[in-house]
Amino acid sequence: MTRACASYRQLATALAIALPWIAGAQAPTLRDVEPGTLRSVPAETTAAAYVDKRWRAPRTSWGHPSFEGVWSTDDLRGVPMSRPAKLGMRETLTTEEFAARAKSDASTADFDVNVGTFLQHESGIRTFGYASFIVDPPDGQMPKLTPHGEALAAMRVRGTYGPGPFDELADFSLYDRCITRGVLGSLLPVIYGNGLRITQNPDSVAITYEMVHDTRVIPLDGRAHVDAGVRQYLGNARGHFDGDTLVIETTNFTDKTSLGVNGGGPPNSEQLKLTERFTRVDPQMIEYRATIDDPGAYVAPWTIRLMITSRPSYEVYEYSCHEGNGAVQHALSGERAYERQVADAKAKGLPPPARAVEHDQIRNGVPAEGQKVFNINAGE
Amino acid sequence: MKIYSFLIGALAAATVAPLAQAHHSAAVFYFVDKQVTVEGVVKSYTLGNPHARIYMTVKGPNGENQDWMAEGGSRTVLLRNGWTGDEVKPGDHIKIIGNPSRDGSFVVHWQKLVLADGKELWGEDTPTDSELEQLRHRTD
Repeated sequence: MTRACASYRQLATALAIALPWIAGAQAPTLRDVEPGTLRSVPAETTAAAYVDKRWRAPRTSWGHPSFEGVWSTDDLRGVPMSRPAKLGMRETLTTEEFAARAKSDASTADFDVNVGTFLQHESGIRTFGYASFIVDPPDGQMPKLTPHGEALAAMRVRGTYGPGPFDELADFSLYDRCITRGVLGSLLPVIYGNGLRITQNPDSVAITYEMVHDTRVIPLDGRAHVDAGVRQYLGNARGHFDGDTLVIETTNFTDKTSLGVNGGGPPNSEQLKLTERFTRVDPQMIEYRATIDDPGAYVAPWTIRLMITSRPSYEVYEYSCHEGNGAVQHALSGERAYERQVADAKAKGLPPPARAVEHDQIRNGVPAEGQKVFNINAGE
Repeated sequence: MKIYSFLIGALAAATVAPLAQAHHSAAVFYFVDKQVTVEGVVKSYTLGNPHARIYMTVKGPNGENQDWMAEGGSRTVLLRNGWTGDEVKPGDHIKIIGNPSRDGSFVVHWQKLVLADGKELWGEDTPTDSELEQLRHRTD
């Protein structure tokens, strides 16, 4: 592709081809979508255990509460991690606030599927009334980092979402490299790949997360944690039942993962003890709470709460991350192209061109109005 | 168009932007602010993760054959949006609109496909009324 047409004839040819693309494209429209039935009330208020206090979770054949099945966190995509300050100490939205979120969720789902970047988004079907994932501290705000936590945050590798440069594997995040997204980062809802599968036997529970396909096998037999010298990206998990609640305590983490979406965001230290509580509250809902007790990184423990849900015809797909991953190769190649641009600019006495950073760009499925579309077949 | 862009940006910022992170940045390799069209004959198609890919032969401006790869959405999302894996097949003549690579290699980050019969593949998957009804009455 060249940056300009070499002649009027080429220009005319390009326009003849490009204009029908623009004119004929289904121009994206942002539709104001009214919420459907499932978004008419906060979904958590419809859970069987809240509606009927006598409701009891289904059991496995050996009598444990059952969590088996295919689940997702797609329904939680509209809930923020930290609570907007205006919501104060409230864990849930008001009726008016919920109605606004339900409408936003419905419109966003429509936007994700029909308008947004080309089929990269998946959406839920319910709306929850949670004011934030963080429920403790009661103001919904993440506690401050310790000085060590701040140092960990400063060292975090942002990978392809950072400013570069990209010269070696250490410049890429564990997520870029298909290594892991960490425990919480594998569950918190993102734009796609929010499925998980839970399987049980009398002695263990296994959780497989869809994107990057990490699987945790959690023993229930009361064995001790491994030696403190053993450090793992997903830590070392041990489970037990507290009544009908499955409690998973995980220690022995590395400090190379983080606690936010996809394993980025807020850091954790090796002192992290993660306590997760899974409670079946409905045939299609598991209430999930996780307490982050990490005195190495945070001045106080904090707890998140969300709901894991199921829906008809939903299944977990193979991720095959390494086979299809172009992140490292592409970023290295892009870096070399940038170096050539810098050298060209220097040779011409011009300032170096700006680096491309993802969040500075807007990606739409069709060209912006009036935007030139270069035609490859015409040699542009 | 500016108003439309603002509305989309505002909606995205208010709802999904803080969580909107695909597997890796596209901007490090693609000119995501540029668009190209490329037309050719499909050699093979993989509906995979993290990206579906179409390999095709493209006739260049001087009649030469170029081997192109088009990289698009993930298998996971495409299947959830109704794709089946039969969208394109070897021998199909298709057009792709998307972002060109920064290094000039024959790779495009596809935004949209136009099949030989003119069908445009954007995908649609909002739950139907019957699906919602089925969900409401599901008991197991």
